[in-house]
Amino acid sequence: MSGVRRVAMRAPIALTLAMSFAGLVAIAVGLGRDPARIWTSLLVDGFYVLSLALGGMLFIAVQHLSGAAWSAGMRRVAEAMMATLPVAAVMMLALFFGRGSLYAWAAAAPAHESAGLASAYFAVPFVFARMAFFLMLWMVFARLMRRASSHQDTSADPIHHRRMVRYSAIFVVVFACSFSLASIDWLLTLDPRWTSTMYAVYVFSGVLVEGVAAVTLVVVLLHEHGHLADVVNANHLHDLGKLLLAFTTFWAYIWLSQYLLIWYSNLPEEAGHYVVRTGSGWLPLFAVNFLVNWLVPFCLLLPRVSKRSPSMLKWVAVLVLIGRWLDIYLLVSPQTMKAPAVGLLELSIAVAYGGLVWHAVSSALERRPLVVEHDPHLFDCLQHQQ
Amino acid sequence: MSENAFAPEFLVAMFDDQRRLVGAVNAVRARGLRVHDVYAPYPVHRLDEAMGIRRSRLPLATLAGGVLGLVSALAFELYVSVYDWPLNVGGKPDNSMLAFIPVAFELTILSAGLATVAALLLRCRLFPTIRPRVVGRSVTDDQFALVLRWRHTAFDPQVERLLYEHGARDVSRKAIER
Repeated sequence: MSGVRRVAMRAPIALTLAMSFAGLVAIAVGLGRDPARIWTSLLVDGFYVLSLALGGMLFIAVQHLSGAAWSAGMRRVAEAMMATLPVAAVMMLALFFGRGSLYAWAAAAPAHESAGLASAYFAVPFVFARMAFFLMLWMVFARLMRRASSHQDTSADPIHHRRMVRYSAIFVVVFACSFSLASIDWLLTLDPRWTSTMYAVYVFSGVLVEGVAAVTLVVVLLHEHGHLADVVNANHLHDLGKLLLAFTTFWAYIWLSQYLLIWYSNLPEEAGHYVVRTGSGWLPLFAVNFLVNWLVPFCLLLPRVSKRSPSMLKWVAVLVLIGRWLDIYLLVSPQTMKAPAVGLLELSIAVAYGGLVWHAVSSALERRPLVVEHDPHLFDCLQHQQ
Repeated sequence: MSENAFAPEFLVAMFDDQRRLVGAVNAVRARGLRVHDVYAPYPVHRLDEAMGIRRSRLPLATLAGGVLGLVSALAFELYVSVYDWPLNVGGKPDNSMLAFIPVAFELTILSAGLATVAALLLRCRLFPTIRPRVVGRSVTDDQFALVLRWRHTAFDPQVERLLYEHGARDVSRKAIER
């Protein structure tokens, strides 16, 4: 070892293949029986993985833009999460083949001749061209940020840091526009007659929570295995805990802002979205969603000691990551399915996607030193106090 | 300096930088002496642990204020719109708890914030008309002062030397201005 500490943590290739194979079998079996169920699951899991990658990118961008020093030592973890972006891109583009099971706009017959502009905007080739463009755009930013960070390891020139800050500033603006349009294209149009001006913000708040929860989980796991020992102590965990508490609460705030206004005005064209979700079958999941994504994490993370406890943070992060899946599932499934179905098929596909994410993140972590070098904030990060 | 007959007397050591100050605090405490107080122009990292100050209980005031705000807001809204003066608004039930949430949320935050500030001001004795107690004007600029009670140190001739050894610029016995 030449001074630079690298970690052997790559997911075993046999295990990854086995997990992917389980998913492929589930897809093959399910497509014959109930294609809508399989495509629903592929959309939910694909969007979940995409949120993970984008959450990592947003985490990095926010740290750079706020000039945060405490997180400099854990930036590689968030950067490794960007490695799932190509995986997510393939998953999302694969939805092209399942568009008929998911989206009303993919149906061949142009039902509303009057809606000329809308039917041009939701012409199938245009929607998927947009999808490819957005995914490409985000991958370009991920590549730029990763490259600047790698260059910084070998050169102390402050230009690399300034570049990362500049990329972050452009990225948050580009992301806000592109992700709003993307969430409308891929999720909102599942119910073509419904709109909500809060929708893009709601989906975005979930991406933020997922990014923070995933960074927290990976940092705690690495720390438990003796990595990051120099750059992460209770003070850094405390900040991760605060971010998790704040962003789950932000999600709940947006959740309530959307639900409250629709419930209050009770207009037929708006209320349908929630009538389905609070109706028979979906109501238990709808209630659990709010508990798992906000109330339970909020109560658990409120005391100072739990934000500084690695095991508490780990389990809250796991809970929130499960909650993220449920939240996306509740955005998609009530539009495409008659009743909730979470069984062996969904589990196998989730396991396969989980295996791919594990492989992508662990090999990205292994490829480069686990802690950045020459970062202007690294010294302050080591000295960090609450 | 107004000499008050009842004013406690102090041994005041002045320092030029925070590292020497923290070192001296550690040394004094290692000798078994109690640090009366430290004056610094800005918050110094690791000073609280060095002085052996226990953690602030201010968050308890915040929590109490927050819970009080939440409960009182919900109770008031329930009382008004269910018991005292029920109104039919858009056919909603009288007890439309969801509509009460925004007001309850705002009042929770308002009273938690006010409770925190009030508790801080009361505990630090920061009232209007109060005369500040400062060892000297320089601790509001670029100097650090370590203050010990004279009666704790009177029979230990080594203390002054100890303070000088840890980088004190000046050690003197004085009363703190009121």
